[in-house]
Parts: sequence; structure tokens; C-alpha cells
Amino acid sequence: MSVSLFQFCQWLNDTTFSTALRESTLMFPIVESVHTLAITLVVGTVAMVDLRLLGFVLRKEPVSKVAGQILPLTWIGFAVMLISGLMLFAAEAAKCYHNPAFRLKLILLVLVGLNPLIFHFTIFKSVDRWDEVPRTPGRARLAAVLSLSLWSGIIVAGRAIAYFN
Amino acid sequence: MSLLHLFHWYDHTTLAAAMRKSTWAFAVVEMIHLIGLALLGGVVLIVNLRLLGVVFRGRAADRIARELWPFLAASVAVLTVTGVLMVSEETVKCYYNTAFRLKMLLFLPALFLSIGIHRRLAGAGAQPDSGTAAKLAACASLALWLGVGVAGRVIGYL
Amino acid sequence: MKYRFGVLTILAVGMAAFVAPVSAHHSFAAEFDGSKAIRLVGKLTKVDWSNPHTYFYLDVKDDRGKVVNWACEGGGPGALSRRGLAKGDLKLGDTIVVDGYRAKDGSNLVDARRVTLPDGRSIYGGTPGDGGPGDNGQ
Repeated sequence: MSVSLFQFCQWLNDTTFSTALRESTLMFPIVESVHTLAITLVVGTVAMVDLRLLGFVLRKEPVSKVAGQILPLTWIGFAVMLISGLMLFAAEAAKCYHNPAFRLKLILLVLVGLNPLIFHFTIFKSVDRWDEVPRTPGRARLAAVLSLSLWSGIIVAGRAIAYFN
Repeated sequence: MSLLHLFHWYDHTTLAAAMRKSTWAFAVVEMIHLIGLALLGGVVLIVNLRLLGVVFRGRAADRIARELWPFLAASVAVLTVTGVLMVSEETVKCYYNTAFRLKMLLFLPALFLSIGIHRRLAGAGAQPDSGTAAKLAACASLALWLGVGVAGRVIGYL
Repeated sequence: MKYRFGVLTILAVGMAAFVAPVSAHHSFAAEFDGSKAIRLVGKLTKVDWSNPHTYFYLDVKDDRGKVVNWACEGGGPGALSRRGLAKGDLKLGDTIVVDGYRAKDGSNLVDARRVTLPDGRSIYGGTPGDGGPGDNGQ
């Protein structure tokens, strides 16, 4: 017996936990607010690293040091986003399945994850050679621009979910 | 002119009417507001966490403050403009909204404290005195901006 | 830098294109007409008590005597319960009075501002003095 993705979403939507969250007076607003405000922890911090790669800020700090100091914060933010995001998804799973903005957000999230992965295993491997140069390599700057664009797109798609409900 | 009169006046401007008439303007403005929030958050976090010795410990704080200053200014400008535009949606309702009032009350102290922190750090040399006062200022700054953010979220729920 | 402008322009245009065709549901002024207040009296057929917005549906008799189903959008469960309306207060089959603003697209949808229950109790979703439908003033 195969369960379709939609059936899974409907099942998740109807669980006691999801229903309670969806009908809650306080929990849903709190989870939604945490999810929105944690944007600062994820996108805000990543933006600082991207701005370093583009040569706008923290210029005298080695790129590897900037990444090493800031990315742990990003990971904490991402954990918060993931947990709150899963909760919000569960509460509205049936609606989310059909929602084009939600689907786009997921695609962008995959891409925004692939970007640093590729970056890390290619140009970043030679970071010792460009850690402290005035102008970082083109590929590093491209990764930074893609990161900023994709995260902005994720914020936009996330907000647009409500418009397609 | 009382504050309420100011809100009523703004409500009747062509700009406010145009914002309300448009099917997409509010949505786009709000999305830009969120992107501005992300940028402001990044700057505020890095500067305050440096003061608290959590990140870039021992690294030149004056440079960090000076280089991040334009991004603080730009994000605040974007947030202010988009914020004012969003108020036009239901101007008088905002005036009476407790969360909106709280957000406005916290915004100026948060902003002035950040400006003060940036100016002090920029002029204090590479290793500013990171004593208790500096750490308290950093905590206060984080708390104030968090307050602004939370109040902003609550506006829609009241 | 070449890349930057290109990518950010695409993003900006994409954003506008993405949002524009959607009649911006979810911002009051874009979806509802602040000048078209209406009062609906009807039997409650369905209640959707969920975040971020609650919806309740009424069977309303139009002036020709035909029964039409209307959707009423309310605040979230938190906002409603703070104003004294709990999930259990709305019973299917009850006759409810809703004062609200009509949707701009002319559909049978209102932004509910005041809900009056069969026992006479009423809950106002706006701010007292904002002049909305059902507003009793300060």
C-alpha cells in the first residue's frame, strides 16, 4: 500500500498536535513569531559572511575567521527555523501541499543549501591563498551573491504563503 | 496638531490611498521590510556580540563598528520607509494599537543606543574597554531591538 | 559588480511578478472595501477555527428569498478569545449577525468586524472609535 504525499500531509494536518496548534490561542502566534524573528539569526548572520566575501565588511579579518566566528550563530538560527517551520507546516500541512509559495520556498531552501556545499568543496578549499587578499575570487563572490539572492527569495516566498492560502 | 490628527492627515494623503488601492503594494513593501529586518538583525547581533566577547574576541572592534555602520543606517532607513508605508493600510487602527505604540516607544531608544554604541566603538581604538558598562549596553541594545521585533509581530494579533 | 546587479534585479522583478497577480489576500485594504459595510443575518453552517484566521459560514437569504452561503473572516483564535468569543460559542444552526466589510472582488466574503450571537452577546473585532461596521464609538 503506497501512501501519497498528499495523504501524508492530510494525515499530519489532522494529528492531535497539529490540530491543537492550528486552533491554539497563543502557541501558533508564538511559533510564527519565533520563526519570523529568527530570520535575523539565520539570514542576518549569513548576510554578514556574504558581505565579507563581497569585500564590504570585516575586510581586515581573514575570510575563514569570519566564517568560523559567525556561522555557528547561523546554525543555531537554522535549528530554530527548522523546528518552528516544521511545527507551522504540520499545523497547515494540507493547505501547504497545494500552496505554490510554499513549494517555491522548499525549492529555494534546497538551492540555498547546495550553494555553500558547492562553495565549500570547490573554491573554499583554496581559501589559504585568498583568505586575506583585498579582492576575493570571482567564484567566492558569485556564491555570496547567490546566497543573498536565494535567502531574500526565501523570505519573499515565505511571506507569500499567506497570500495563496 | 495632535498625534491623532497627524495620523488622520496621513490617512487622507494620495500616497496612503494609493497604497490601499493597490492589490500588490502592501505585500511587496512588507517583504522588503522583512529583508531589512534580516540585515538590521545581522549588524546588531555582530556588533553587540563583539562587545560581549562572544565573537571576534580580541579583534579590532573600532573597525567592525565603522564598517557595519552604513548597513545599520541603510537597514533602518529601509525599515522606516516601508514601516510608514504599511501604516497607511489602516492608519487610525495603528494609532490605537497597543503593540504599535509599544514598538514606536522602543524604536527610538533602540536606535539611539545603537548609534551611541557605534560612535563610541568607532572612536575607542582596537581594544575598547569591554567592562561592565559596555556589556550592559550590548545587552540593553539586544533587548530593545528584540522588543521592537516582538511588538511588531504582536500588532497583527491584537 | 556585474553579477550583483543582474541577480538582484532578477530577484526584484521576480518578487513583483510573483506577488502582482495575486489579489493580495491578507492585507485588509487590498482584499476588502473599507467603504462597503454590510450586515449579514444567517444560520451558521460551518466553522473553521484556525490560525492565522478563523472563518465561519452563514446561509443568508438574499432579497429574492434565495439562500446564499457567505464566508466571514475573523481574527485568529487568540484575538477572538481575548475579545470574549470562544470556539464553543458558535453552534452550527444558530442564527448569527455579522457586521463587516465586503470583499472587493464582489464574492460572498466579508471581513467580520462585529459578531452578534443568539443570546444577544456581541463581540467587536475592530478598535472602538475606528468607525467600522458595528462600531459603537468610544
